[in-house]
Amino acid sequence: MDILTDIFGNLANIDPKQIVMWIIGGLLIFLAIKKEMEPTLLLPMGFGAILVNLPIPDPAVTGEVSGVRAVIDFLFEIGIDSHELFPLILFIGIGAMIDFEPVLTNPKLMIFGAAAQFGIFFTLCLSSVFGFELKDAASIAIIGAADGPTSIFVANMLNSNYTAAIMVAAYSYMALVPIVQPPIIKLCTTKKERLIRMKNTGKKVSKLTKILFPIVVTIIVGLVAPDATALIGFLMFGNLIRECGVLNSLSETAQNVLANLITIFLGFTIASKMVAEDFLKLETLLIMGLGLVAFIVDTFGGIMIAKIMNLFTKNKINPMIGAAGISAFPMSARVVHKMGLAEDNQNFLLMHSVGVNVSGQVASVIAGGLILTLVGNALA
Amino acid sequence: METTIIETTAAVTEAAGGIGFTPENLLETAPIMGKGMLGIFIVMGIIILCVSGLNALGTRQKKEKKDK
Repeated sequence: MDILTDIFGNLANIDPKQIVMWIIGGLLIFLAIKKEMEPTLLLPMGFGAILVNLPIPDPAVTGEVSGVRAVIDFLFEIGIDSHELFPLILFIGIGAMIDFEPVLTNPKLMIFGAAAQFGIFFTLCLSSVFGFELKDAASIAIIGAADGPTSIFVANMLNSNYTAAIMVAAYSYMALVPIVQPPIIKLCTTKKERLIRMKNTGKKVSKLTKILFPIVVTIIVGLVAPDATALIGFLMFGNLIRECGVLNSLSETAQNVLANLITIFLGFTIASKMVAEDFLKLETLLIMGLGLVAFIVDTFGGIMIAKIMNLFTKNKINPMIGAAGISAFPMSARVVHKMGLAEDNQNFLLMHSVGVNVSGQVASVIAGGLILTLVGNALA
Repeated sequence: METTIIETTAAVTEAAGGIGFTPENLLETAPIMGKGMLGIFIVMGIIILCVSGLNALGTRQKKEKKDK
């Protein structure tokens, strides 16, 4: 009998809330494997959620420095909490993946990237109306950046109480872009607008421009939005490695090995904040809802600016490309391209939508920096 | 006894652990929204100008190479 007590005694420590978290973890793993929704992040997060919700003594209570919770807490401390190391290093990989040529050949596409950040600021207002503290409202709003590392960076810099819920919402909706965006795009555009064909400029960008772009953008953002310097600096450093032409091996490493390695730890580390007593709250559901609003309003903002520009320009713009300004690279560009082809199988919007998409990536980082500056000033 | 909307929402807020309907917070966040959107358009505008300048520089360099 004593043997049974020794072996199964821990079963008595299971909290029903922990079982709910196992189910949530299982759901994330299911979505990652079966639906292939952001599997690189949702799978480690799902498994981590199960792991941290096993009835293991909390190191914060016991003072133990070993064991699974202590290790994951340590990863969080060094990778996210202290200097936002993981999201920033991941940005080097993302920067190395991005080809800015489509937006460099047609720089006015950047306007859509700016407009599609409207959801962030709208959600900031909405979250505050729902009673969230300003720092939490701003952290929730940044889900609309549709960019995981930026969301983690801003939420952590603002010391939000809801980092885990924000991360889950940000990555879930990024994965759900092909489901969330099409109905909004259809609702905001007419059939005639969706049929607008856009000519490819056919322009080529010089190597010098491609090399100077990341340096110039870093300087501009560093001067105007200093709080975004770390994010934009690491992103543009990755891009410079790609474009310089003499560091191909480093570029490939940044795009693949480095990005994959950090992604494994990032998902697992975020899960350390998915402890039942902190995660299973009414606020988590509300954050998921507000995140969805951010994505919807972002899409709306991008489309509307295209419609406004069409009032003044001779060469009409297909408003659907505005939706790609949401960031969520490259899913959003693909969604717009596919929708264009569905309306007219000779309407190739990919180059334009990718241009808007990468400008959305830059704009979302700037938006993150502006949120930090403006909210920081308001809180001071 | 008559209760106002604000009193009711405050009660809901308390019951929901701090979350509730507080429209007066808009006074604080609406200016942030205005400044944020303006700021993002200004920064992106500056980047557009710089990229146009870089493109012009690149085109001129190509022409000079061709002429040589």
